[in-house]
Amino acid sequence: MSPAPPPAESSSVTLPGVEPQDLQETDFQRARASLTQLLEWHRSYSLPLQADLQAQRDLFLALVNKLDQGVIQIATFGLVSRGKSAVLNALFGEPIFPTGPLNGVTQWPRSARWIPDSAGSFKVQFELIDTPGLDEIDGEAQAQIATTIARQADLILFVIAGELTTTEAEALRDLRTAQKPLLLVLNKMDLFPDFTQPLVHPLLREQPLQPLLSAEDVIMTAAEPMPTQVRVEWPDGRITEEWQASPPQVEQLQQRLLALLNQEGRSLLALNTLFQAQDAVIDSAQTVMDAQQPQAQTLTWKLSSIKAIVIALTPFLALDLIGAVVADLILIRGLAKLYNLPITRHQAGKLGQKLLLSGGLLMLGELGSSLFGGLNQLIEGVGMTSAMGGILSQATLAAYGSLVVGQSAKNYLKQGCTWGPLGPSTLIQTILNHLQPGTVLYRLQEELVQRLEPCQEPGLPEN
Amino acid sequence: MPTKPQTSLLIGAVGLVSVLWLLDLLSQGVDQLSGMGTFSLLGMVTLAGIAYWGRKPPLEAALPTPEATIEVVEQALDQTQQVLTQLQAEAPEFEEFSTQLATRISQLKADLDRQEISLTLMGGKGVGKSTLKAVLGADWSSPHPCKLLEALSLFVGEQANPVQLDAIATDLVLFLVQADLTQPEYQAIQDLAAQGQRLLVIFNKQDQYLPLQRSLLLNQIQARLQGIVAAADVVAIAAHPNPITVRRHQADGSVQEWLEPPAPQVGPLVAQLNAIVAQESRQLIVQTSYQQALALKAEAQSSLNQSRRQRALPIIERYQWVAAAATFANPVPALDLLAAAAISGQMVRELGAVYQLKFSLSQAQTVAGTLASLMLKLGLVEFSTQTLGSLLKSNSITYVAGGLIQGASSAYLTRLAGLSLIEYLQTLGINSQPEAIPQAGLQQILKRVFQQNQQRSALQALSQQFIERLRPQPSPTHLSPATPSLP
Repeated sequence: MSPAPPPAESSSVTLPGVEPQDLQETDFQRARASLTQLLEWHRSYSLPLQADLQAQRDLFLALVNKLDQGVIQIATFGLVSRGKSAVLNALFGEPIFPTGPLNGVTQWPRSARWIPDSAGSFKVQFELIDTPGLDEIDGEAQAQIATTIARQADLILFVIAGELTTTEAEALRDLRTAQKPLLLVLNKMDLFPDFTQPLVHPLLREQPLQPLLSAEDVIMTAAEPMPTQVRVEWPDGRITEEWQASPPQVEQLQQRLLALLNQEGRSLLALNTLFQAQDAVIDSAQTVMDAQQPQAQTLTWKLSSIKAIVIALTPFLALDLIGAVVADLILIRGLAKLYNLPITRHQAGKLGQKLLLSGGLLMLGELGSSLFGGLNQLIEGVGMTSAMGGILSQATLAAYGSLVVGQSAKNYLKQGCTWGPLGPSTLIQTILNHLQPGTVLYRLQEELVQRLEPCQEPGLPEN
Repeated sequence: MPTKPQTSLLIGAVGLVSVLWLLDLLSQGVDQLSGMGTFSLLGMVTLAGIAYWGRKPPLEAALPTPEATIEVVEQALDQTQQVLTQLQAEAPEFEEFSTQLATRISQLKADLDRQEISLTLMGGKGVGKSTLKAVLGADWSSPHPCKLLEALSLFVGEQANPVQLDAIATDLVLFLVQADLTQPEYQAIQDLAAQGQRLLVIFNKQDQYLPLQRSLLLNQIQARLQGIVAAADVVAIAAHPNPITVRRHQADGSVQEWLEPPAPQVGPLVAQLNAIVAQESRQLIVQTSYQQALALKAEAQSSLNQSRRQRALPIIERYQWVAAAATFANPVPALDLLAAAAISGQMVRELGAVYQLKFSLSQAQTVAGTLASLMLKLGLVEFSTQTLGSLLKSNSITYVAGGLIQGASSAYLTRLAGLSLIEYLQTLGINSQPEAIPQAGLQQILKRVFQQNQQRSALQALSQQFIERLRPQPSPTHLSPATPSLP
């Protein structure tokens, strides 16, 4: 990443008078810029290293694509025969995905683009992904596929019908731990008329889900209503039977999805993209570090021996300390350059502590040796051996301090690489600060912050 | 089997090596063992033991149940009675349990002549168990006295539990589903069938599907359950169909429309129930009694085993110390000798006596020989000694250390052999005669016991043994909990 200066640190503050939509748009653009920058960063490595980073680069490209097209991926998830395909068909208004009474009609995930008529000015469209159901007999592989897809999607439609089973409760808990935004769809409302939204929402308290799902995120549908049987009795005594189809009822879901799109579509998209990018950046950093391990070792040894010699030769304590700190800083700088990772403020404090430790060690060494030297002087006058010993111990401590600093610099660089001015973690933080109360993401906010590295960058304002 | 032998071997090796390392450390400078050393020794080994504690033994596979007849049931009850008699004679600590058991046996015998059949409705939540119970109660006039019960809903709550048959104890299970089978439903049906439970699978709420879909679903369920439940025992019903619209065209051209609740469609179920009750009622009762008798027998047997094991363990421990002391005094160079020394015919006889088996001395020696050769074959002897050998070279107390290692190994092997023998003896019937023990079966048991004891008591026992040994006055025949004693 080129060390471009941050555009404006103040952009992370919700300014009064600024429309949330504009903020969303800014965040969205910055997410895109971040990905472009990440691609540039990858290109700055040597060709063999670029080859090692292929998988991550592919992901970045896919994510840029997704942002450019403004595609929000919505995946269905749920047990077999709960009507996942039917719900999507009803949204589309045409039978795109096959449905049927037997379990396991959908064996493989399929997807289709959905551009709602009233999408309005937002250049966002939905990609609806249909997944195989859970709990199919001998269907572990299908369940695995469905879970993987759900983990990547921007939003999940969790489809249930009738009583919540153990498997469903477990799946909901898992998705909660994965901090996935989701809507709970109570399908087949024609068959389970008693199983209503006011009944189900309190039930979620038993699953620890309720704080994440507001009442309006629990939506009743009848995606493929069962035709009602009609017995027709004719005047001549004939009796015939007919089946009277009723139209699908998914308007509520449709409206909820559109509202969601208007409210937080771009944030949803940007956030999920950035989380995926964040993981990929850390993976990249690790790959680079592994590849550059020999060079890093040489650099650390070289710098620490130079430092040791300089310290050993410098007679003054103050000069020693300054020299030590400068040498350590040069080492950090050198490692950052070698790995081509940015120097950020993220967890810089920890590195500072190590620097202090390194200096402190040196000081202790100096004090110790001068004390020792003093004692020696008392006993046998000027002792050459003790002076030599003091110098040697100083040099050793200086070199050791450098090694410690080098090691923690690696950790610091790896953890900090997503925290550059346009780094994914920084942007995630910004977006989280912009979230409006009442949105799906806002309810997930606390959990999402946890996913954002254990420590926050110091200095960022709390919302 | 989830346990990986390599990992347990590894842990065992690490445990033993750490013991040795500590020994080595102690022997270098410290003449007298301090309490510290003893503690860390114990700590190391205990930690290694605890690290692999948490694994559960694999579930025993359900035994295939033969077709039950009155004779088979009575036979099973007789066997239970024998176990009970044995238990009463051997284990006074189980007196209360024995009395209960006796009551339950006579109860079961009386139950064999009962007339009433119990039917239990099972299934997930909301599949219509209560509704069907009410409908059957009202509409079905059984040709035979019947009792309708309703089990708690399956597949709800925190985690899925397997269906416990003895908790149901019913003659006929009516398993309700409301759509194509899901994996948990399939699993539950399979479990029930595997335990010999007679069951009907009922596809309820078929009115929620179009006529064509209904037969499609019924066929599908029957096909899925092929080989588990007969096709005739899978029926489609609608205990409480949704109301249908009735539209009457009058002669004058006007149209009247109203909703009408259709009558329950339970015909196929009633027909099948009538057939079963008429033809199989006796058999159903016998089958249930047989299941219960088997469960009772297993319970009695496990109590007996528990009691005998409690008495057998001190014997093993005693021989463990004898073997350790003998090997310590006279460290043997060869592995086979070590194995032979570890397992004495006398121990086999004494253990046999606890299990009511009278081994002659020669029989006992054969068994001991079999065990020893099996241990050699499985590489257990090598494992428990060889890993330690390299650490003993050029040590001033090689002799003592060598003796300690050999002693510990020998105690360890004794323990393994003893526990394996117990396990084997438990599998024998109540009136078995001591014969040549089949090698293959014993080998399996030995392997399993080795793996189990790798994690648990063996390493602790080993550490205890070391502590006893390292004390100023070793007391080879007395096993006391390891308390640090001051020298």
